[in-house]
Amino acid sequence: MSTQPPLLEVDELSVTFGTDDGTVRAVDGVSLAVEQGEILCVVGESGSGKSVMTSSLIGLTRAANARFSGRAVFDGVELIGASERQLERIRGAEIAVIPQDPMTALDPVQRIGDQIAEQIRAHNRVSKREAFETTVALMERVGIPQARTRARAFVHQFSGGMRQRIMIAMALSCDPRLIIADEPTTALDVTIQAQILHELAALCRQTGAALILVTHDFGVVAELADRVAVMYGGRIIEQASVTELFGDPQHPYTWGLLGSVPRVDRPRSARLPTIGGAPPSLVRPPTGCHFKPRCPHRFEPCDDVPPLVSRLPGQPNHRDRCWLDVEEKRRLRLVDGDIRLVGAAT
Amino acid sequence: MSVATVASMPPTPLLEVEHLKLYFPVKSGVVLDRVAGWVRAVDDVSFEIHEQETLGLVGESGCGKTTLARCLVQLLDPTEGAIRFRGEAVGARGRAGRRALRRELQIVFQDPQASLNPRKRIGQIVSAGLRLRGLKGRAAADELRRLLGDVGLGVEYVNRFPHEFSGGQRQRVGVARALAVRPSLIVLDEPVSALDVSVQSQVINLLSDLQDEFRLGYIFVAHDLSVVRHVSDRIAVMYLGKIVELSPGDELYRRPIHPYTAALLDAIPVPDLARRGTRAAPVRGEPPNPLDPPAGCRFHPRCPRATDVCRAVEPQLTAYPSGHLAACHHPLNVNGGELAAATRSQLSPLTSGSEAPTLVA
Repeated sequence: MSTQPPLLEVDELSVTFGTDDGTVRAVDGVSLAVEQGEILCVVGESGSGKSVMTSSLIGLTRAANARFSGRAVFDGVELIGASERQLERIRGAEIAVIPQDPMTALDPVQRIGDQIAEQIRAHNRVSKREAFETTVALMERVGIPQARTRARAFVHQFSGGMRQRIMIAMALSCDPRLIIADEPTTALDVTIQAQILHELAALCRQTGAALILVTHDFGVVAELADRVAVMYGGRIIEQASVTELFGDPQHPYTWGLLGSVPRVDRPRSARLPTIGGAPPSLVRPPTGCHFKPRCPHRFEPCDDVPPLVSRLPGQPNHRDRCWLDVEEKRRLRLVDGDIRLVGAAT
Repeated sequence: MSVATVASMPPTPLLEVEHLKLYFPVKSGVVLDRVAGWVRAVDDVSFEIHEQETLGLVGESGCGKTTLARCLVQLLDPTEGAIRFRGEAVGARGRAGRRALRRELQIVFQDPQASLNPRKRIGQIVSAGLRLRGLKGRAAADELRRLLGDVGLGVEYVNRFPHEFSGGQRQRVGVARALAVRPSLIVLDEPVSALDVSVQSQVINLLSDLQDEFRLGYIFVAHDLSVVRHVSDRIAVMYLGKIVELSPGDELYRRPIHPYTAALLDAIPVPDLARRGTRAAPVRGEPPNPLDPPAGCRFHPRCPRATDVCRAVEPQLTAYPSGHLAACHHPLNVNGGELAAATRSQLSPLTSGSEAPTLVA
């Protein structure tokens, strides 16, 4: 590991929403670090808090009933509770965001080139002409053909894939040091998804920007990630390098996720392995480990919340929230030579 | 005649689709509606499906798979072509006949949120189908309880509203509603794409249990090739309104013949670190505008193997000896012997050329 401090350090971040039904704990004590230039994948199912977590980092969780606690330090600047003016200087320039749905993120009545140029001029003192030239260069760089002409077009004249390329161009416009991409390809077809993800990763490597990629697809994780954080019920339940996570996953939920993906590279099995039950309610979550009600391997200690700590000798950066013994876990998760979660939870 | 007729299958297919076309007019003008062009959503598609078989239908958005699905359950009327159910033409039926047919052909929609009436209780939604079957009172209540049990929902849910359910549970309600009329074929339009991975596999397993129990045929429409493979006996790949490949399930993944299918398979991210960085470069470009599809093979602008014949002549659906059909002039994964034994399939589009496929270097 490098000796320089991490680019982003999140410490015990919690986000709650007060509702009529009670308090929703969307993010529940998340701690993580992003190093310079690395790709961190945040994996989780809907409702696991991954989107709320990433949007809270840059002050985009704006609901009036939202309450924040904990810290998130980006390059020495505290992000949680920062003023809107402070955030404006960072957002777009230092930390860029690529949203899930580019259609709702782009202005339908403003020309594409103007929208990108506007962002450049908001953060840099350059002339309109210079900003426009930079825009055209950026659009070429993300693979938009005939960029000079297309810069004068409107959003509705672009396909879904091209719109997402525009979002990437916009994200790159101020040479950010961190890009947060929230499921950037879920709205796209599989061939376009492959193009976009590869280009996004390549551009990050070229510019040295770090990337937080929120996804639910373990295939994407295996191809792009340096490190992975798995979220469940608002908490990170496992965090490791990509090789550690696939080779020696420690949390039963991770086994379940890895096992229940239908695979095209394997012989077809009669039945898909499943994780029984449903994700937890965030208003009345289970006591102790959130995965307890669905976990076939639960035992008494699971009534207490397992801390996110390293439980593997020699692997300080592989952390998980599971009370089970490491050797026992290695035995339990192996089913017919594959890592799976087997056994009925009641 | 039939493509992959297994010995045990009955001679008359459950459903036959012949040269089906569905064009949507594109209107222009403010006062006078003038038809400016046609979107050929489904353009001369033929296939058949047998009792208890699962046919997977895959393709990217805009390829016409959902339009085709809706056409099969008579939610849309075809522009041209015929659909036959158990050998009898669907279009020839009268009102009552079509009503009866709707009980045989059911559909489960993609978005379980939008396809359940938010003001009705689950019991009401599912028992509408039971009434059509003539069940009343006690018999209907018993059957309702049994149906909900079959899809893995407890009786206590009968009086709940759709919003009280999770996505996976709503999709179970959609399946129960379809089952209520005892159909023989269910069209599943992206039934699991809105669900999370862990819930997705529960619903897929449920669907395969129900297929055995109720002797159902499925048409499984999806964009996710890994899910489709898991459920399908045969798979049809669509591109821009045409079927480009039709193959027994596993065979399609072992040796795709059409370059588009190969590109689709290559693009699937595989959760295996050993494969990291080994993937071929993704296919270039995007699907063309369906208003003005390219001449010849519709995939030629994106195809690395395209030659002059691809640009000029629409490829026929060629039947290879393994029971594998593909519409490509320059097929992949085919040897000389198989090429010599290949014949033009009767499912070929009427406008396709008669050029036999050739190998290219």
